[in-house]
Amino acid sequence: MKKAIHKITSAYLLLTILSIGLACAQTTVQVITKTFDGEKAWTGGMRLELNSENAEIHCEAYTGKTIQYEVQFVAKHPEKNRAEADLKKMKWISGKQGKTLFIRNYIELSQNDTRPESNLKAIYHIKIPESCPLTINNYFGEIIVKNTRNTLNIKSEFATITLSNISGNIELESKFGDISGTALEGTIKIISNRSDIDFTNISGLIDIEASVAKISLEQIHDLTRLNITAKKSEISLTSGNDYRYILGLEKADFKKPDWMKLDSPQQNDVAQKSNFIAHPQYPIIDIKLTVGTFQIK
Amino acid sequence: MEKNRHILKDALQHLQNFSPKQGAWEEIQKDLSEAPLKEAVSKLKSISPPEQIWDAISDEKAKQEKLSQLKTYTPDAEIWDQIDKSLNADAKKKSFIRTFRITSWAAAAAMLILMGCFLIIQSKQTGNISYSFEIVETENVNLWQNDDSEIMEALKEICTSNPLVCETPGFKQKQKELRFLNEQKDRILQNLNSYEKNKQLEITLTKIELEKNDLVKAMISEIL
Repeated sequence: MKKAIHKITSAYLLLTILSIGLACAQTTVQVITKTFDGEKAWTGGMRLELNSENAEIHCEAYTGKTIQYEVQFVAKHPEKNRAEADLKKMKWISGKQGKTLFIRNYIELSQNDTRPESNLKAIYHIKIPESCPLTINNYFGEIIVKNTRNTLNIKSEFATITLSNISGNIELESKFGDISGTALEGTIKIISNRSDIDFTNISGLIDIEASVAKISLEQIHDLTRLNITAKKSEISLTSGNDYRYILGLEKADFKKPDWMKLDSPQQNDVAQKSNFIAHPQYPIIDIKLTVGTFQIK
Repeated sequence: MEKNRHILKDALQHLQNFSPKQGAWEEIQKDLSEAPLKEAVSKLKSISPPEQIWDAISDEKAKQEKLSQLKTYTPDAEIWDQIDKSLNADAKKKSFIRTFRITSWAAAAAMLILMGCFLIIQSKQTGNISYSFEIVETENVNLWQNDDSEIMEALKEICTSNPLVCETPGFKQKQKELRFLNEQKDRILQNLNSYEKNKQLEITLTKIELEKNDLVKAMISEIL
């Protein structure tokens, strides 16, 4: 009976994916692009907050002292008039409140307006001073951030996040949007809901909470502490034996590396430990995993 | 009407003609011109002009006397030609200056117009609109909706026949997750568009379908 159910559900999934593939057809779409740009003087303590939806955000820090931005609104539809009308529904505002510069885009529908039929997208190209704190909230799209040196706060849903050469206080919260990064340093806190995490060359104090995710951390160095709390996840670390490990694994596959020697269980221990007795000065890697796989390379 | 008109007419025809002497008319003319003039002059006020006016009159008189004493010369034809050329040169110079001024003003005006255009273009660039076209593969996004309702109906029916199992915390947790995944799937479907291939969202949808598939299988397993 179970085999029959398995076969039915597999066949259903396969048919769904195949039918989607077969349903493709070519058409010519009119692409209308509206571009805005601007520049704001930056003073110490001033932060940038970007609230967007359906946006592709490219943000790069540089040595200058101004916040520069170029915003493109793109509407795609086979009918030019429809694309133009839908593009008009896409609005954006920017303004300063206290020490915060706000930039926001949104779709405005009046009482009798229908939802846009066109594919609407915003593309941001932003340059900020290295020390400018940055907050990004985005739903659907893509976020790419480079070279920031201060607080970076990203909250997104259905948007991929790509970070490179970032230091400072980094806080990321992502739902259904994969996160990748290289050369990350500082205090890093990540909350992931069905968002894969792939970091290379990472250091500092790292705290990850994940649900249904693949987590891969490579080239870990100068670690203060790494905490991972995950469920239904696959965790892979390239960390070696220079750490103290706390392994709280439940319903998780874990193949212990040959070099790892587990400490004798102490009173009140709820997790397996390694190197706590032999190397009490090593930084701690604390893994709590419920359902999934854990691998140390 | 005159009753004796013809008598009067005859009498007038018989009247004699007289002409005054020549001198009489001249005397009358002389008296008429002199008498009012004398009377008017006698009434005029006598005014003594300031000394400087007499000096100016004296200077002008002396100048006129000296000019009358100057010799007159008749220049050669060449000199007149040179004068003529120099006059033409001056005219040309003036013409050049005038042309230069007009050109300068025109250039300044052109610069202003150009700068104006530049500023307008600059301001338009802040909200610049461009048009292009793309050939894309359209997709029937509704296909992702397939059979969702059928699965939920099937689970509902199974739970009706096995209510105890469906009340367990494990089963309820799975139901909750399934609902969450369906809600997230709906959110993605609302944002999927036939005219933009969004690979990442479709990968996410596939992951959701796989996770839902695992959940449904696990729920059915618990029931059976």
